[in-house]
Amino acid sequence: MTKKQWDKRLNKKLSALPDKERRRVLDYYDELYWDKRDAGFSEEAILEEFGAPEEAAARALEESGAPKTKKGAAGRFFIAFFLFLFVGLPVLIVLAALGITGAAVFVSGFAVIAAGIADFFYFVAQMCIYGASGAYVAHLGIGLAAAGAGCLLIPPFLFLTKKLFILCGKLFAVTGRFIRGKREAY
Amino acid sequence: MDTQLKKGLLDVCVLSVLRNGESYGYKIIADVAPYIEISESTLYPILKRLEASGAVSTHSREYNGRLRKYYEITEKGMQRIVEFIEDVREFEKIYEFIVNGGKK
Repeated sequence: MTKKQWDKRLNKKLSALPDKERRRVLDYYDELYWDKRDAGFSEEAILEEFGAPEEAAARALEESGAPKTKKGAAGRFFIAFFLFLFVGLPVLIVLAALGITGAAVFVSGFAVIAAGIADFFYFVAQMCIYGASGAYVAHLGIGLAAAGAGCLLIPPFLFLTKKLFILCGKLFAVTGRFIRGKREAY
Repeated sequence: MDTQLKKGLLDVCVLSVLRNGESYGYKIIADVAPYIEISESTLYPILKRLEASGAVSTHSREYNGRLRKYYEITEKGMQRIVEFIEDVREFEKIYEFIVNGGKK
């Protein structure tokens, strides 16, 4: 086994500890390793003295107050399942709803412009076929007004969409931290 | 030797080594090992416990292009040694009593 492999196994066995505490244990063994290397010991001899990473992790966990026995695979599965069901899934639904709202708001400004232009050209065609009338001219005005209103709505809608997506990102990050925190506690 | 007794002894042995000046993991093991069995994995919880109880303070310093953590005994740590010596004197009396078969 190499030092890298030893570290990896130790790190895995310390997963119950918070990041800072885990780093502290790894730094401790790293410092000892290099001090011993400087003193002329071989990698193999040092790792033999360190013993199994599982044993080193067990000793480190003794003073950390972390549970000595980690939950089995079934226990971890249920924790992950419940976290997903009651935290992950609702947040995903909210995120999806916010995302769809953002996209809809973004599209609606352009839709108003398109509808206005379509209305304008439709009644231009109507006038060409049936001749000019007051109602047709009024529709041309409505079409142009709708297109203009759409142009005016695009900047605030874009701003709103941007804010919604930023909110989605923040919500995602907060949930990620919450789930990670709960997982580390086990 | 009883595990709890050894635990307590190791704590004081480490503190005694630090009484001679600040030290680091590798050197502490080298200094304590001739007197009592100690390993790398045993030392970590001892140092952590001593630091948490305020018996030692720590600081990191660069050595050979890497960081090395140094441990220094505090007033509380010194007091712990004094208390241990007093305890051992008490034990000596009890020991004499037991060896003499319960007679003074």
